[in-house]
Amino acid sequence: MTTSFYLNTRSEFLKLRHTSAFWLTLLAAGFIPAINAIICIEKATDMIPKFRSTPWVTFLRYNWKNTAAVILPFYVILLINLVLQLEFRNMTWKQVYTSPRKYADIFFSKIVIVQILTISFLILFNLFMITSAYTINAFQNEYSFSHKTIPWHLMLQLSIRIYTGILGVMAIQYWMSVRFRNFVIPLGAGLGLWMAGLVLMEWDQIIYYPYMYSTLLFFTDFTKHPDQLPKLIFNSLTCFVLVLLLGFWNIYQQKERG
Amino acid sequence: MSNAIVQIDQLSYSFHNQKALDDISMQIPAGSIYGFLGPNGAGKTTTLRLLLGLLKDQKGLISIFGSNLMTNRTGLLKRIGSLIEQPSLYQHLTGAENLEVFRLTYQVTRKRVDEVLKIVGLTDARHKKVRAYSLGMKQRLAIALSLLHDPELLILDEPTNGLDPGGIIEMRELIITLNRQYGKTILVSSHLLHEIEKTATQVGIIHKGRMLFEGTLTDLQQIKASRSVIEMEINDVTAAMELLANQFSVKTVEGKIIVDFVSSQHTAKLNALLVQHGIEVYQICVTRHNLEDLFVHITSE
Repeated sequence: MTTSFYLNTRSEFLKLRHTSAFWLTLLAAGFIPAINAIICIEKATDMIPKFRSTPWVTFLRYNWKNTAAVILPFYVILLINLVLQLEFRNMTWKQVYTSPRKYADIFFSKIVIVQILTISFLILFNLFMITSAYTINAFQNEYSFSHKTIPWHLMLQLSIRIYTGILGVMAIQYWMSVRFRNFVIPLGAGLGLWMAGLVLMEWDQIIYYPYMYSTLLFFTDFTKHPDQLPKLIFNSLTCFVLVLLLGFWNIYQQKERG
Repeated sequence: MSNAIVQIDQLSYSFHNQKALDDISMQIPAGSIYGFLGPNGAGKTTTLRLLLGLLKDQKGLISIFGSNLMTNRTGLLKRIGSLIEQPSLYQHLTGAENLEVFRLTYQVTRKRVDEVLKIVGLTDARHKKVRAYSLGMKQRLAIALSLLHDPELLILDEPTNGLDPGGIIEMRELIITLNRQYGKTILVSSHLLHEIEKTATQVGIIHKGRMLFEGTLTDLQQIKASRSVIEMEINDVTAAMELLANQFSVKTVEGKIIVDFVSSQHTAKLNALLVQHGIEVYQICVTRHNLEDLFVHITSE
């Protein structure tokens, strides 16, 4: 069972060859660090004072604020759509369902692929931030990135938090993308729910709104609200597990496949 | 039939209260090419999708290799290869990559990929992207894919659909080779009777969700013979009608006398009778209903 799940997950990975999934990962991870590098170099006079005391922490926050709130949710919505549309567009679901694979294997191997690519995105994003910082320093040595230690621990902590925050969105988008042949439905619903979240940011129950978990996990000041961190983590993980199980049950119950 | 690989008993299925299959039964013997024939919308694809577990909640029994798909799905699918409707292939991947995707699932050796490509004649096109394949090549690649795990049973739904005449001949030859040379039992559906006639050993005819005929190709041909007629061109139709009406089932069509064909001896006797009574016979021939006519006849009943 484990061997076959591993091999089927590899086979799912192979399906992404020659698609834009890897380029999407690379571009989404590199976009914000690249933009920030240009801004820091071009507007050095304005920016250098802001980076003087804690250059790395400030730079990380500059990059993360856009990524946690915008880039990562968009990336996850698009990536999941792309992974599932491969089967719909090529009409290959029927071939998948007539191969000797358990329904759970089919359902969960694709979400593993999404996880691997999202983790790759986060690793690349961190690497691009470091590269970006050193590039800035090469052009403007007053930034002093190269004189300070890279805050590896903070980078890891932020990455894990934001990753946990996106899990709920991942599960909801995954269910919708498996369920609906028309890609506009999960894409439109995903973007709509994300935008609605921005409008609802001030809502006191926003902690129950999965599309904002990654944003909240970055922007909330947990030194002032320490109780919020475990709540957000718990809610996101619960949403992930619950929605995935419900999604699987829903797909398992379907009368028609392929 | 004791050596039936597939046995369907009283199978019924409805789509949103609309009956697609009505109490159909069929048996596919091991080693046969079973031609599953019917016009578009007759219920062929629904039957095949039920056989493969792509549809569920049917009434009736489906048994494959003596097991039920609902209780032993993966075990049975290891022994079945299929091509349902149009080829299911990843267009952005090459032929070899498509096979590699499923090779991992079936856990077969890389050598097997070369073997199946050779069987379907696509070795040279293996590194070409599938989107650049012709429809015939896609059909063959889909068959290669269904052969990867060396299944005992192949289920092919309209494999000649959309192919040009050359492609149809190639596909027909491939099906016969797979059956005779590689020992596969093949269930092939088609709406083209002459295709089934050229490949199948067993035939099942479905129409409006009901099985109208099931048997060997010979059985079907016997029915065909029983519906053949003798056509005669003679000098005096009225006299001939008077003479034959009491003894034979006879009618006239476009100035010709038409009598039901019974046997060659019977035809000779009929000719002798006319000649004995001074009627000149210019032409006498047995017009066999071809399978197309029979098919139209059966499905219009």
